[in-house]
Amino acid sequence: MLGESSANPASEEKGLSQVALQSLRTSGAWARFIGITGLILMGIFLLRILLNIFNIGPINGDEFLQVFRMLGGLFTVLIISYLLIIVFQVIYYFKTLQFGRDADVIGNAQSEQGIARMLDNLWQSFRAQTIFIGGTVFIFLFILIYFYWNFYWMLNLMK
Amino acid sequence: MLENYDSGPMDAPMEESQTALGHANLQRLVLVSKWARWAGIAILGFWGVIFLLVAYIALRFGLPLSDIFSSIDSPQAWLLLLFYFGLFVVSIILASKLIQFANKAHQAAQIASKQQLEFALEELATYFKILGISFAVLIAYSLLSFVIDKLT
Repeated sequence: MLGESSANPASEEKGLSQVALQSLRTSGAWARFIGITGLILMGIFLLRILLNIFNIGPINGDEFLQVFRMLGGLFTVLIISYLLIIVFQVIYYFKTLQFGRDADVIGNAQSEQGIARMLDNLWQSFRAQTIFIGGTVFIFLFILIYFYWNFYWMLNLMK
Repeated sequence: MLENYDSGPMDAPMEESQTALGHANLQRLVLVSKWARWAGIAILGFWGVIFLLVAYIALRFGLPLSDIFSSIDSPQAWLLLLFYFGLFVVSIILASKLIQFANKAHQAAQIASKQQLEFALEELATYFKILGISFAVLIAYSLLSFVIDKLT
């Protein structure tokens, strides 16, 4: 089962307790699973976007872009924000995967440098997560405010 | 800078401290706790924005709950509703775990407590476990709906 790799009894004497090491091994195993599956899913997602752009997928890429061009300045903001979200999501999965690998290594053989590397990967993973979730909220709010600002009259018609 | 920390060989000796972490790593732990807290706040912020929007629509146009529930008439629609509700519950649990981990990790770094570090790492393990399981459920759900779509 995930997180139940073999423990190293000698490691407790060097620093972290067995409880801490077990928690690290569990975190490491799940983090690797999340990182690997996340990267695979992102790969499939990007492949589908590329196929659509080259008109191989179910959505016509030209029509798709035409709609966005009509939106003018909004198009640039949306595309840049969306690309940044994708980039930070990939960074998040990659850093989570690296953290998982480091946590598993430290779970079996501790070292100050190893812990440093693991903590670096962990905070960078959380930073990427914050940015991509924050970016999603930004896009959502931006679209809402844009349409509210430009199509306010439509809301009054709906009343 | 912390990002440019020169990572040496993995078998370097541990420094002696109560948390089993050196000064540089305690600083890193503070950084981890800071970003973990922000990640938790971002998740809560996401749902906060959704709820504000729903509240705004409800106040401005009214929220006809009976109409909404009567439109959910197929098992697929109920499954989708259950899926979104599950997503909401799981993400709130994840956000709370992140913030709990951040608090404990920050405390562990501040008072250099070995026990607090243990608690923080347990929270982190629970967070990754919940995230991993929900990831697996999400993939299974996507595959299942893809297969059902192809079959029907």
